[in-house]
Amino acid sequence: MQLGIGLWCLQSTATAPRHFTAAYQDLVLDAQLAEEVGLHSLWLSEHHGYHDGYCPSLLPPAAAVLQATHTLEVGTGVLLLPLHNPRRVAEAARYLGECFDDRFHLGMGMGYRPSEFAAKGRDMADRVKLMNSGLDTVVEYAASDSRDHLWVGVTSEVAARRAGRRGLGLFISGAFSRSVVEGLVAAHRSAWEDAGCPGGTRPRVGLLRNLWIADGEADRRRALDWVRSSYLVYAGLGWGADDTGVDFVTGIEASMDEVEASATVGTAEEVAAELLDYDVDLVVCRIGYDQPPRSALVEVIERLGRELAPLVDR
Amino acid sequence: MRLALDLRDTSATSGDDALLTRAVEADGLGLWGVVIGGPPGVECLRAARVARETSDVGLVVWIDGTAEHPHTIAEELSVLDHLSARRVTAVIDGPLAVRDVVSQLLAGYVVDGGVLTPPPAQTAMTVWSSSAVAVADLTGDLEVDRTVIDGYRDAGTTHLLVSWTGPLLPLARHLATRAVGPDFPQLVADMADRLP
Repeated sequence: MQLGIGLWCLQSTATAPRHFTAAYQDLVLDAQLAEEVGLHSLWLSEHHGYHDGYCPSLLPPAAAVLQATHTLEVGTGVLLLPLHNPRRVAEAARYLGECFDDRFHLGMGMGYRPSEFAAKGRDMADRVKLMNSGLDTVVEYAASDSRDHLWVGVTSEVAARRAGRRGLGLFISGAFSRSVVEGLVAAHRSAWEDAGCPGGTRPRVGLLRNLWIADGEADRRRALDWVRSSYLVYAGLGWGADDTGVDFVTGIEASMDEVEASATVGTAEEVAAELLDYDVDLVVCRIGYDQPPRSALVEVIERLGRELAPLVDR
Repeated sequence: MRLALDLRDTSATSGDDALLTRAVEADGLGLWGVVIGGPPGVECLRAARVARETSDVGLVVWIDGTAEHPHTIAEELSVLDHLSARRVTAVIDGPLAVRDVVSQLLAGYVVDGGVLTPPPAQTAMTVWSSSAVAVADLTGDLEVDRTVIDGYRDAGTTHLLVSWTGPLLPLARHLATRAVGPDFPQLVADMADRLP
């Protein structure tokens, strides 16, 4: 099992304001540290037009990180494909793959905020059509000989099947119960087999997980509070997006409870034991919360690489 | 007048390693800028790589304005401005309307209900239309190239994007200096060539 870290969103949030330039400069430092401690990858995340500057353009920072590192892999978790020209995305992905020895991973998702579609002159009602045609374009132009570095971010079995029948990797969102994760993986694999095993090699499964290494109860509680508060960002993103079928705002405490319940927080041994129960190839440890002080972020990156990664390296 | 070294052909003909080497040299010699382009979607990625390898030189990013929504182009440029710590100038190759929208978003205006976040690090990024940019192929023959530089400078050109295939020191010493104003003391550059 490979171990990565995410999601770097490069925001300046209401809970932790900072200068955007500092966020982008720190990204490179965080990546270099992740490489130094032996982690597999770092993953970025995208939204558009949000007040906190949530990163709207993932490929330039990916290029900067790849240029500043030697072995670390970098992924988009995820790029919202219907909001982009897929041919242009494919060209960019191919460029990064060729320049950096296939260290770049293109994870793609669909998006759910109407304002983001409107700003790009697109109708959100077309998003499934745009996603499907976009994936086909990317598969055609981005990676003629391999689909190993193409992933689809999913929150539903329909989306998991979309990835599987194209032979693309599965990138599972971060706050699902084990049973939901298992259902998504099964849907992905059966769709791949039903489609005649496109690509030839069974596509990989990546699991985003709210996660922190904590030794004592006080550290554990502090980490869980950071996980809970991170949900505020998502509640804010969902504000006004009430035609998505997802209720981000009503009952926010209940949603925070769910996120907390699905989080993996404990000693390295405890976390490893839980992760190894998942039949996945990659775990992206979601540690890019806005509340932890920088010292805590640096410490957890070091511990993930030096303590947890060897325990899950099977 | 300020000179930017046009590296669009360098990456196309010699690859990105040559581009990076040339940009680092330009950075060390204090040239005002380097011009970076590429296939649609690659322009800002190349510029991000150059930004990592340099510290001061301006990044003039030549972008195809027809291949993506103007809002997306503005987002890329804004992010690149943070990655490079305020060094980006944009050239939009395409309809003037695209340049105008990109420029307005980067300046902080709401366009068609859309707002650009994060804002660029600069107060307002300079965004040129490719049709309004002065571009010159220099020859490497300083006698000839001085005339070219003088012509653009005296016509009131503010920024000139120049191609130059030889060593960069003569460009920096003889032509970037000369471009500044009409009273350049050529004697200083000539004597500098003779110093050990």
